[in-house]
Amino acid sequence: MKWKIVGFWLLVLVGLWAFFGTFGTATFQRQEEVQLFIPEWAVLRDMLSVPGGFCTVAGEALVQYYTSSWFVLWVNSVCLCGVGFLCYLLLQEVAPRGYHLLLALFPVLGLLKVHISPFYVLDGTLGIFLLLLFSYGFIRIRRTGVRLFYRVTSVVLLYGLAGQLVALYGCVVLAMCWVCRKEKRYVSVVVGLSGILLACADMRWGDGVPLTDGIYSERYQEAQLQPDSYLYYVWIRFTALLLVLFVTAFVLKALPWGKRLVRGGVVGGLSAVLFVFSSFCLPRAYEVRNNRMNELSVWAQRNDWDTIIREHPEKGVTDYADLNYLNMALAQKGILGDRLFHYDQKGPQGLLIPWDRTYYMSCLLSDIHYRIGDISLAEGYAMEGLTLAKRGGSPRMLQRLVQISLIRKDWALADKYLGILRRLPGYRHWAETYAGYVRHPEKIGQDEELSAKTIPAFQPDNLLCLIDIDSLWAGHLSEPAENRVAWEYWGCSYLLAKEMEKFKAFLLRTGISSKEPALPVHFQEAALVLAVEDLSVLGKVSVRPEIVKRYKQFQADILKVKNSGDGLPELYRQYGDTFWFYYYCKKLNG
Amino acid sequence: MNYRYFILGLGMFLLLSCNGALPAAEKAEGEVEIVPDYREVTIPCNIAPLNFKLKEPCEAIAFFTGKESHMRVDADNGSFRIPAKAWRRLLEASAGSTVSVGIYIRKEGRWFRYPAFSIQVAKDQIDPYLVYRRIAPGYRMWNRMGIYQRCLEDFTEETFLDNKLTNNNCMNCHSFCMQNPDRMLFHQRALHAGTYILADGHIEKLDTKTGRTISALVYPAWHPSGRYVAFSTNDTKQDFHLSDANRVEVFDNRSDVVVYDVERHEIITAPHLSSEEHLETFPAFSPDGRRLYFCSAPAKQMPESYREIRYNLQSIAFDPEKRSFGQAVDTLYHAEEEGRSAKFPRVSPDGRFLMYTVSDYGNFSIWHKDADLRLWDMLTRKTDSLQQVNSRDVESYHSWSSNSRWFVFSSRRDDGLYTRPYICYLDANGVSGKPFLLPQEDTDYYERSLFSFNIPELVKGKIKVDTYELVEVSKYGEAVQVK
Repeated sequence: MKWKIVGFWLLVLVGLWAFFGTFGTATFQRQEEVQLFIPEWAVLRDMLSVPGGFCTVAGEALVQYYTSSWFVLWVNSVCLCGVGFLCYLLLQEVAPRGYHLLLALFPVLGLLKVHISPFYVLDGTLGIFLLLLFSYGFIRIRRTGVRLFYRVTSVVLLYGLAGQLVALYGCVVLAMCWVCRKEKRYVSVVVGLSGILLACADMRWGDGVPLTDGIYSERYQEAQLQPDSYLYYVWIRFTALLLVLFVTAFVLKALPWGKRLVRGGVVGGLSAVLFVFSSFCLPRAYEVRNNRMNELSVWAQRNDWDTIIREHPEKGVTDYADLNYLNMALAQKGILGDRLFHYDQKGPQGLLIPWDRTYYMSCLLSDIHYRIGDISLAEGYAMEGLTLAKRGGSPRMLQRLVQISLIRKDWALADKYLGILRRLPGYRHWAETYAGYVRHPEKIGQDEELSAKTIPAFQPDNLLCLIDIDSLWAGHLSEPAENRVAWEYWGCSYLLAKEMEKFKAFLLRTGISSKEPALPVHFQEAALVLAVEDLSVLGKVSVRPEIVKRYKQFQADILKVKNSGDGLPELYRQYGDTFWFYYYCKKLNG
Repeated sequence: MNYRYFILGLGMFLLLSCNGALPAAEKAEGEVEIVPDYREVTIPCNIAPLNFKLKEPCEAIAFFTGKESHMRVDADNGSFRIPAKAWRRLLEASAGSTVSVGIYIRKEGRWFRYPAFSIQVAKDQIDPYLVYRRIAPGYRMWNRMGIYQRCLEDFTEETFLDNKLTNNNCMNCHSFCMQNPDRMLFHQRALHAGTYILADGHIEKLDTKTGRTISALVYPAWHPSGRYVAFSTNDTKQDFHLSDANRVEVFDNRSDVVVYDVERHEIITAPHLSSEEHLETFPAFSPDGRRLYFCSAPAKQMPESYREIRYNLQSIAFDPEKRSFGQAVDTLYHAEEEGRSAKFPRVSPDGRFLMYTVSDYGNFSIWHKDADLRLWDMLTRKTDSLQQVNSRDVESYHSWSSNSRWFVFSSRRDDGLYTRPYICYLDANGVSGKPFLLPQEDTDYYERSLFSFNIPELVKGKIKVDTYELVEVSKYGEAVQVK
């Protein structure tokens, strides 16, 4: 029998592994990015001295290795499997029944959904694991002396390890004693009340978020900047689910389990309910979308532009954040002006998405501006990202700030950030490499990335609110080295906004000298559009003959479409990858 | 008999070893670099141990020699954590004189002795508590922040209010009446917005937005009687520099100064304090409560003229009995003449000195690397540029101790971005000592910290507040509307 149970849970483990592997690990990898876990005794001591600190330390200690996909899969699968198994063991104390294996899957599925939420942290599951472990110990220890000692210390110990979770432990203990009938009621009441009172005392006199904040809706929790109340939200609901399972087990215990019909009915019924429940636990569109964004962010962090481009089918439907990553990748490959309109662009926000005051958007905008060379803006967004990171800071943003500080020649500040990164095991090597630049600033000139970037000291300083973005990008023309990325962004911003007069001025100012390499394809296409009003444009910029020929064909075909009133899909099929179709046929929102 | 001598000699050897006999050491050239830099600083006799570390981790000894007292501290990988009791005894014995600190470093098996540096121990005590806000130096967003009270005599820090208890809102501008922890106020912004006055155990929540003021009440300054609080009202904006090393510019489109009557819940002002043609801000009362100091600049088109705004330092008479202001405004600092801008005037409690901050332009000086402190002696009418106090980076917001012998100020001298509290001595004649960084138990504290210390305020005792009650009032309390 035991082998069947082990086999069942191994199957669950494999299933969880497959689920997380299919869903993707980027969401988890980003959790690593929003915490600053310094594994030094002075820091750990302070964290552990706070009730609940153990869960925080253990959670962050595991998450720091989330850069490895394998580790993500292992940790999450094992944690959920462990929780499920402990639930099964507790249910078995009500009565030994095979269908408890199915009942134990309910909390696993519930936690599975929560694990893929960007607002949840692993500490919560570790706390739940402790809750179940302590509860199991409570009901299983039979030796009188040990049992008494355990009763007294379990409450205090769990409070120290998991904080206000001890109130829920009190509830679970009370429920278990009622359904298991193995304890004298007053003992469980004393222990249960102790847990609840301890949590109340913490809420009254402590510095932490109160457990009662977890009662509020999920929407409220998602709006909080810290994960604490979301953990409480999950803990409260998990405990409620556990209590429902106890009651269910208690009720089903009364059924004559020996009869095959009863067995079939119970197992069938539970399976059906489990199936329905699992449908609520599947990832929502929001979580899938969020994971997609996280994947793009991870690839961008690794400079894996080819993968980003490959992941975007041409003419596929995309949203603004997607487009920002895609366009950034195209720009990094030097083909933004050649392939911009091969994709379903939606206006200038596809280049620079509006900032929504979240960590994720701060990272994205910092990346984009950094790659263009807008160092001040890149730094601003990086600082916002560092501030908004949920768990004390972001190593990724610190890396960006190191780079910017080196560009600014702020050696002391760069050194400070490097000093922090050096304390993080996953960033030590990177920090030591960059520390060399602080000690020997002359070596920055040999760094391919840093040497190409500079603070525009040659420009008169001004406030950014007094400069529009195209003036900012125009300023990059004066940089010592050619900044093709900024140039392409600048030109493409006009094309996406259909600001042809501005594009004309841009083209005449910057495009004339761009003979080798040739003007990007879409710039040439736009030149032809300009030439309709002003033929002299063609005297100043070079357009390839095959593009001219194609444009003439386009002009003929679009006339047919206008006259006949249909044929737009066919026009899109032939010219959807051109600026012309975007300019003449695409309506922009607003 | 021989074995007895042997045991005695062994015992003496052990005793001497335990009592810290110093190793034979070669003289080393140059000065030893320590972090924080506590060399030649002047400290109060009741300050917590000045734990420090060497720049490079190594085996080291620090030998403290005071008046009739000495102490040896062995480093832990270059880091010195001074025992609190021994430190207290040393300071008590050395108050009014000097403690000499000799550093011994072991390199490649040999000991080297660096020239000793000294620490002046003033007889004057400092107020035992420092209250500050700790916040990440973000630009527009905030996340975790809190107001904390730190005991300066040890390393205890307690939370006054942490914003995780108030739904991550913003809290700022804590201010005390004459360094009295039992009479204070602070603001909360965004959620649970209001001004909170804590007086003698009672918490009052105020809604300070009125139709006739620019904004809710902002920068506070208590009248010594506790009956009034001067505030500014500001329409403040923030933006980034394109290339300036200062990174961020914070400026007012409009601002005025008003005085709030705590008892009547009324706001009063005067034409000189709230004109359309000028930007008035940063009020501060004199210790006798008879004069109100403030900063004023001619209003200009903003943000275009942000570099042209320069604030004068001015004062006007105030009659607390009649709740009225004088007609004439005295100008103590002429911005256009001096070519710089003045802000944050604060008069020492004994009424002798006026300290303020200057920078090339503007008012939010924490983002101006050229910001420095200035000291005006109201008796001799001379200005001291405080060269020993200022650095090449920001020195700004300051507050006085109740005995006027100490002041604490904000500085970004360590790395140019993260604000740290520095404490400095000022004798009765206005001569300053070398400032020292607020000591921490862990010598790596500031290196690891990504938070700035904001609005450091010295207070005479611990704020006794029931945080739970404060949170309850914040979340559910009715705000009194200010008239």
